[in-house]
Amino acid sequence: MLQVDQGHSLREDSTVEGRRFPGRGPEEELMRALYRDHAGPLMTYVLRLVAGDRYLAEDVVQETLLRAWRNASQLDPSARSLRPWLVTVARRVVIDAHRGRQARPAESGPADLEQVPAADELDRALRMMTISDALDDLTPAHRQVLVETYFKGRDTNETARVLGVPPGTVRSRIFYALRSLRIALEERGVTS
Amino acid sequence: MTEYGRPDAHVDVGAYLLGVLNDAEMDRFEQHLAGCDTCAKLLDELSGVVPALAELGGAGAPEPPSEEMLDRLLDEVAAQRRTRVRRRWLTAVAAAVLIVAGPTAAVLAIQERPAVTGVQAAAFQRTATDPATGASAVVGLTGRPWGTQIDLRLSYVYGPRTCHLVVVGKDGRQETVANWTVSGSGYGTDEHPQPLDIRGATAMRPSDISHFDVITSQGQRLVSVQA
Repeated sequence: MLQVDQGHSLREDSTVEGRRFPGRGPEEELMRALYRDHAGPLMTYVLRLVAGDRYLAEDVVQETLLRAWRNASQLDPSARSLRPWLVTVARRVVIDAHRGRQARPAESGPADLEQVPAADELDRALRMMTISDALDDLTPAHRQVLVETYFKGRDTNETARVLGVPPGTVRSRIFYALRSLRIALEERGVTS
Repeated sequence: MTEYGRPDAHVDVGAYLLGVLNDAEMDRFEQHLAGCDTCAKLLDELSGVVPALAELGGAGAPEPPSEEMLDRLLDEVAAQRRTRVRRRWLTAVAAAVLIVAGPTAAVLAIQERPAVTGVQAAAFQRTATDPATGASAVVGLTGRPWGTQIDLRLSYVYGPRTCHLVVVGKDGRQETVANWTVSGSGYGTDEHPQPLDIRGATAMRPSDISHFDVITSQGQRLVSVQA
C-alpha cells in the first residue's frame, strides 16, 4: 500500500553521515567519482552531438550524471559498463532538450537523432570517450599545447604568443605530447 | 647540430604531423626530413595519433566541463537528500496513522495524502515572512536543464490587488516570472485559509539567483525571500 523506498542501502547510510559532514558523505563521493571519471569524456561526446553548443552540452552532461547518480544502485560503477548507459541517457537528454526548443525558429540541432544509439554509433561514442581519457592522461601543459594548435587551428608561432613561451618550446611540447598520447592510446587499446 | 642549426630539429615532426608549422618552417622541415632517417621513423611512429585526435574534432576543442558543474551536482545531491528525508518522515507519519486508527482511517489517510507537488516537491525551499506587511512566502527552486523552476506559496496576503514575482540575479538582473490577482478575501487568511500556489520559470540557474521579491502593482514589496 504505502510506497517504501527500497534498494538504496547506500543512501540510507549516507543520510546521517552526510548531515554530519556536509559535502563529504558517500553520496557526495559517488557524485564526485562520477564527475571525475566521466564528465570530461562525456562532454567530448555530447559537444559533438550538439554541434559544439557548449552551454547545452554542459546542461546535458550535468543532467546525465545526475540521473546516473540517482540510478546508482542499479548501475555497475565500473567505467566499462557504465559508459554505454551514459551515452544512451545523454542522447535521450539531447533529444528531449531539442524537442523542447523546437518552437523557436532557426534552431539547429540533432533533429534526425534516433531514440537509441545504433551499435556502431555507440562504439564510436565509447571510442571517443576513451581517446578523451587518453588525452586526460597528458600533463596539463601537453594537453594545452595540443588544444591550442590542433583543435583551435593556431600555428606554432601564434600558440607561442598565446601561451607566452618561445616557439621552440611549443614545437617540442607538441612532439612530447604526441609521444605520450601514443603510449596512452596504446595502453587503452586504441589502435588506428 | 643538424642542417638547420638546432640540436632538436627532430621534434618538429610533431608540429609537422599536426599541420601547424607555417610555410617557411614546413619547407625547412621537409628539407631536413629528406636526409634524416630518425625523423622518418618518428613520423611513422606518431602518424597513428593524429587520426585519433581527429575523431574528437568537429565540435571545437575538447574542453573539460566547468568547475561549477561539480558544485551544481553536489547541490543537487544535498537537495535530493533533504527531499528523501522529508518523504520518509511523511511515510512514517502516514504509517503511524494506519496503526493507530485501523483500516477505515487507512483508506482516508491514503486518499487524503496530498500528492507531493508544487513547492513541496522543489529541490530547495526558502521561507520568509515580512514583519511589516505580514506576508509569508515559501519559494521552491528546482534546477532544470533550461534554468530554474520556481514554485511560490504565499500566505497572509490580502486583496484586492495584483502582484508579481520578481527574480533578482546575483548580477542584479531582474525578471518578472509570474503575475496574479488577489481577491478581497486574500490567500492564507482567516477568511480564505488556502494559500496561493504559483509557478514560474527563469533561464537563470539556481546558483545565479540572489533573491525573490513579491511586489504589488503599486510597487510595494510584500515579502522578499533570499535564494
